[in-house]
Amino acid sequence: MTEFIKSEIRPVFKATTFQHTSKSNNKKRAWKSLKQIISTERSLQWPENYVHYSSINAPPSFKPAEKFSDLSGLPAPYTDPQTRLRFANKEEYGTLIGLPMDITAGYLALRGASSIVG
Amino acid sequence: MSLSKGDEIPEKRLKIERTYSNRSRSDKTRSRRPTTEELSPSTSKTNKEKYAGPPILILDNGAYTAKIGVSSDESAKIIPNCIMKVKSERKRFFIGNQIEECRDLSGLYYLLPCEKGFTVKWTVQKPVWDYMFNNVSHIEDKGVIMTQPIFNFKTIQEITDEIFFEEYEIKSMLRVNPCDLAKYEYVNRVAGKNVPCIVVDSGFSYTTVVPYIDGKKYYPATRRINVGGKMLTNYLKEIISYRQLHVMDETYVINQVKEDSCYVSSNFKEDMRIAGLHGDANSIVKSYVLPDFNNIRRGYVQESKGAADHIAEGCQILRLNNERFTVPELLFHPSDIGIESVGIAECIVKCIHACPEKERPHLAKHIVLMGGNCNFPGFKERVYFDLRSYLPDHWSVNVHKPENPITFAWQGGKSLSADPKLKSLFVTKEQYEERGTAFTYERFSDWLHAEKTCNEENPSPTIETVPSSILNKSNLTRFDLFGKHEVESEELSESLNANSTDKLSKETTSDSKTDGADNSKDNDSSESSIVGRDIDVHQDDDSNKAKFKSSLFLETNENDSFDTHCFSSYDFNIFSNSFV
Repeated sequence: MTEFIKSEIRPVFKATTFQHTSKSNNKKRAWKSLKQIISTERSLQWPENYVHYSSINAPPSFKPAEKFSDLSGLPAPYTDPQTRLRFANKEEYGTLIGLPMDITAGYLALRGASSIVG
Repeated sequence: MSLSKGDEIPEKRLKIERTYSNRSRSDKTRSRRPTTEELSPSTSKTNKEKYAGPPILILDNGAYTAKIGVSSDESAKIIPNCIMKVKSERKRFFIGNQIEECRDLSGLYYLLPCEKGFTVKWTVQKPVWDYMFNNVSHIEDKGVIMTQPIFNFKTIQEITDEIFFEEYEIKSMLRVNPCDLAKYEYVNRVAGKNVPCIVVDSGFSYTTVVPYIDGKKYYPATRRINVGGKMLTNYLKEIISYRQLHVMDETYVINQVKEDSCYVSSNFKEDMRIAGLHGDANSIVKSYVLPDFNNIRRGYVQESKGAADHIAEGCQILRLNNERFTVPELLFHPSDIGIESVGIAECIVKCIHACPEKERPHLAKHIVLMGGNCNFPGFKERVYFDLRSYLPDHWSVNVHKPENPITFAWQGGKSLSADPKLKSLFVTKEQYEERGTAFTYERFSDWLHAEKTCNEENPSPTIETVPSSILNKSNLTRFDLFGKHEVESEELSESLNANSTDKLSKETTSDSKTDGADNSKDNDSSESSIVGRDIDVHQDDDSNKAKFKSSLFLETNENDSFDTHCFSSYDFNIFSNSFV
């Protein structure tokens, strides 16, 4: 009698073999790049003066950047107007004028000065 | 039927009793604990012996190395938080410290789980965690103290919750910022009392400067400089590649070069002058013997130039001149490579000036340095000298560098694990299952409750700006440990409402806010140009293959044939040989 009722009551929509899928390992996770995450965060409506990720970036320095030679790293009083590379002495200038375009561009990129306006 | 009921009921009753008895026990232990919460080293030891909860695993999940250990361990184990591939064994992935088994480390590829310090590549992070929890420190039935960066994003926290609570099935968890742990360690072990302090965490991805006032993080003055050890290594690698020897695919070796030979200059101009001299007068230039992974496993600085070094014969030697100090100098002058940002010392000064005026001299007395970059010789002295020259004469300046700056946060976690208050900070598995990720997010994100405050032009104390609806609640309790507010759910919703009305009223007059957004956009573009720079250089290399005898780019196609069984959903674009 009890067995009969039990089998009647047992909900049919529950599968006995059911396993929670979230516990298996091969679940695919949303893989957002950090850029996406930051841009979604930025698009949120923040209260005024609220401190969040992008607002704690350190401010720019008021001091002008010092100039160093691209070839040797020594202090560079001179700049070649054609390539915009900096150099410390005439020997460096000698090597500098012989450099191909792509190398000079690489040197500028290394210094973070590759943009045309900069 | 009755039989089955009878079976169930006692079980339920048992469960209730068990949980009840648990709770009462914990209540008892809490009340039995001494009310004096000032933790001197000796009392915390006794507390640790008394601690009755589950054993605690402390994981300082850094972007380059993870510091892991159980609270009973003497010190943390430092495990590389990455998966590596080498040229010599193409079929194998080296996870964490498995790399010690590898002999030939030339051309090491890194798969890093973090981008700018935030874990985003879960297909990398999960195997590393699996490896660590299986082989280094077991996680089963433990409470976990884990570190996360400031402003860790909601999506990232959700996935972390899911992995730890559902896949590792841990008992309870606490996520804190490593600076919090460092501050805890400093206040309890070094200073001995609850002093205001500034924690400078100069790590792999970035450097943060965090002031603590009244034991709480002061968010309006918190600053982050996007320069870390990763950038220094990449920069050294690039300038060596341009000036001497093509080492673009030897990040691992160059990282060692950086660690062995670089130092922070205390007198930059003078050092620069010496570096410009020729011959023996130049005391800065050093020869570095690169490893060949045959006789020499790790490179080293050649001490005396004259003495014949038999091992080094036939080895490649780098000549390091001003590179030795110009590379770490980026931490102090990021503008040298076009990053428009203040350096560490200036940033600390700006941070101090953004704090309430009466706290400023006290903050200057307690500056704590942590993170791997502090291991550069001369780093502490340089920070001190620079601060001394920036700050007023009558303030005393004190810079503290712990014995081991890398594991300092872990040590803080270790002392925290003995703290009787710890239990109230944890989120348990039951709580997580009951209330979900929103609850844990709210609990572990103390910036959500941070006081909304002033900008730099108006650095007055800011109590007034906190909505009175929050402050006037009498039953609102604050943890003086981390400054987290325990807010009941009703209050929370109320305060949220208050915030949203605030927001609505201020939306019309939010000119300054849009300014801020513009600023941040600028910053972002500069960041992307940094990332892009790497790529630019690669392309240049590609066109100059003959010049640099580059072999890297011939091999990029072979990457596609790697055994991919363990990363089925793998995107091979993230294979990179530098720290990107």
